[in-house]
Amino acid sequence: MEQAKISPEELKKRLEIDVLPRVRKPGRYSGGELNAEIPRLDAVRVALCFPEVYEIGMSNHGFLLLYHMINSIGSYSCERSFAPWIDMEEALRKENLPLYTLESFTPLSQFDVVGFSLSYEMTYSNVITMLDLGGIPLCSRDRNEEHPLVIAGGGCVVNPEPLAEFIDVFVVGEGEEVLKEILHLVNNGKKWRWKKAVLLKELSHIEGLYIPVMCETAKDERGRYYVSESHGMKLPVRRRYVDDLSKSFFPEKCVLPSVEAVHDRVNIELFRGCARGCRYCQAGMIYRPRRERSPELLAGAAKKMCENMGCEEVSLLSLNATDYKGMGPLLDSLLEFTTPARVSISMPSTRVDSFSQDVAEKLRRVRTTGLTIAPEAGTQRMRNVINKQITDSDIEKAVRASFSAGYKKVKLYFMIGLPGETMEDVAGIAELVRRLENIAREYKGRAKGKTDFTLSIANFVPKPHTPFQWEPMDSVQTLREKQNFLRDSLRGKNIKLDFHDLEKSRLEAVFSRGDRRLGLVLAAAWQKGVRMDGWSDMFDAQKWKEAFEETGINPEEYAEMGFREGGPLPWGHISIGVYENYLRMEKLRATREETTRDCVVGQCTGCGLDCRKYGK
Amino acid sequence: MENDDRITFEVIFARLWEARFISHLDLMRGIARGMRRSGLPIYFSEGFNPKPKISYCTQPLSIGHTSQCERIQIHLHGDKFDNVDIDEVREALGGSMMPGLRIMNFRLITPGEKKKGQGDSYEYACFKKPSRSGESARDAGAVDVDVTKVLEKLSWKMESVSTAIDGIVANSDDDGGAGFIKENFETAAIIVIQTGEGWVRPDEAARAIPDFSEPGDTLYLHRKIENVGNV
Repeated sequence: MEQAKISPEELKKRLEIDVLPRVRKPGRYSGGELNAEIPRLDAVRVALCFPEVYEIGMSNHGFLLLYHMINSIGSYSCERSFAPWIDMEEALRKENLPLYTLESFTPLSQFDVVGFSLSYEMTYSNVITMLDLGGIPLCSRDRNEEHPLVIAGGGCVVNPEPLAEFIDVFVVGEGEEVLKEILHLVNNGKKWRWKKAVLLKELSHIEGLYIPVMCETAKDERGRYYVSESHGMKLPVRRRYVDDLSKSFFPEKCVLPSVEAVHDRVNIELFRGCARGCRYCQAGMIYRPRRERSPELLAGAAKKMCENMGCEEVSLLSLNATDYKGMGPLLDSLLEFTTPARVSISMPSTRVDSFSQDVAEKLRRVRTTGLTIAPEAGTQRMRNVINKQITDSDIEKAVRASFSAGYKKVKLYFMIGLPGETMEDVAGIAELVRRLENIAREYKGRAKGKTDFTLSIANFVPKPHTPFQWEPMDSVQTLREKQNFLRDSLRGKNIKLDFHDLEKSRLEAVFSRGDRRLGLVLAAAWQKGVRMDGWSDMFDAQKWKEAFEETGINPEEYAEMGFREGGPLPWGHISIGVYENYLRMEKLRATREETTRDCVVGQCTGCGLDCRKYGK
Repeated sequence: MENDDRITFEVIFARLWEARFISHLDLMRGIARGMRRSGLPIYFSEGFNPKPKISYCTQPLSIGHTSQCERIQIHLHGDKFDNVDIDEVREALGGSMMPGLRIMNFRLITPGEKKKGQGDSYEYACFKKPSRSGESARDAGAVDVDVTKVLEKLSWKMESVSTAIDGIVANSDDDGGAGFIKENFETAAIIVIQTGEGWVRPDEAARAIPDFSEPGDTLYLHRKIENVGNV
């Protein structure tokens, strides 16, 4: 978008008079929150962008962590920007005003670095919106010395190719250490007036950075692109991660959203990584090794954050909180101050095999919230295939424990379309839920109220860097049949079914395993008006279909067709540290319906990350 | 006063320009969190979902407007009424309020005092957004309002509600002297709205003032006084 240069003061005035009074939830765009950092205009300035609305972005722990971390370093200043909702985008375009940061109302184009946090493929169209509204040319090659360095990090970067045309530098892995190294070089570049090419060259020496313009692509037998060679950059790009989590940055307070965020609470990260080895789970592979923080450190930090923020809930973040070794002492220390202050404790993810009645009772000391468990599949055979090592009796035991502890609502996560799934496995989901319903009836009188099950039934999306990365995805038609089957077999007033959108899941599969050509599709779809694809009411499958047709790219090549084992992969130049041989072995074991034990309790599975170093 | 160990304070606070885009529910949440941060001995509500006990007394203010007379009642634990250091409590609460809120008045509700419920009338200053041409607000001067005409225009509502427009102010200097309105506005008017049956939204009433605004113009309201007749 062509915009006239505008000063932050003028922009703020125009927004307050002409724009904000006319849009929904103007608090999303007005800034001024408690604990927001004060921008330093003479520092290296970073605009940290979250390509979703304010309420979602402000719920992202990693985003806020990096925001406060960068600001804790004297010579750098970091500000936040979020994707505007449709009405705000229209208003900005109508008034010819740029997208800006909430701290100083500075247009994105006036920053030294613009960084995107990518945690979901369906936010890619919002990245384009933000660049365009920010007054930054969309394609990396169209940007010059005057434009900011555009970087991106987050979970999606393990396959950066669909966004390779739009981003200058991808940060693969955890940002805490590598961001400091990037900003140090940007600072030098600013001081010595480096050309952008020089800056990129210098950045290419930092491990964990992928710079698409320095790489060449080739085609595989189906015409899909993969990165074949580089000019002066070491391939594969190795993922960076923090060695010692207890020494990494931990904020004492986080900015408090002025509009209620989806997860509006104090977040305490117990540990990173998970060694359970569920074969469908990308997070379980790409955040290894497993590294824990001590209960003392966490309890102290939680207390400080509660005092500084005044939140009514503390959330214990991790990939499966009940696996945390110091859970007992941590809960005891937390309860000492949370009980009198009426602050509740929640766990966003728990595993049924490590969930105990003791933990359930401690969690509901202040207020009873819902409980979520994830059996993922309905039959033991299927759970063996995906290596979800829980049994029917584990699930039943956990449901009993939660009902006897007073919980009234249980949320269950399942997936359909898993590799090797048959209709018997789908029917197994319905059977399991019926059994759990019978258990709920036993406790109904005791819990004094209705017992409810909410079933979230996701469509399996094969993800890069997992043992299922080569697998074809079920067709939309097959998944629809499975959804209809479950809809018919699970009728009842106590059961709420929540199915994921089929076309959206398929597009997610396309972009998570997509190559560089998808940049064309993304640009074409964005021109047609796709926005906020993560929102079911905003997702427009027809526009995406047209964009694929116009660019002559067949989405089936990335979703339903799958990839050949041993062949080149669009994400093959990114090494997350897990050996490909390990993934292949796991795939083989899946076809044999064999499980692999968690290496934290069992022997080393040889995934490639030396967990022993981290005390397992 | 309650027969339990709680003491009640009445807080009158201003909602400044910075806080005008926060919704009423978000404001309530923000005040509750401010109380938690203050370290005061909060009196929590009973039940499954305990929350700091706060009663909001004034009419909820629409998004985009400011006020200097928002009134709430907060409840703290305290068994000895006479020992309460009001200044200390005010300081603790004032220091932990969210940005854009400022305590204007703070007092302890004495035992036996009749609690003042929701206000019966409100006085608003209405401001029209500055002209695009950049014309200075002060140059534009005041607009004469024929009150009779306004009332005629509002007549369809007049049967059930008493809405009176009692004057006009010259410019935006009349903002209570506390920086509530940062922008210069072309014109301003004062309206008084009675609460009760058939509540008229103050911005609706302001729009009915002849020659004050064009359809689609943005109006800013600043709530000046609660219980107009009692002041």
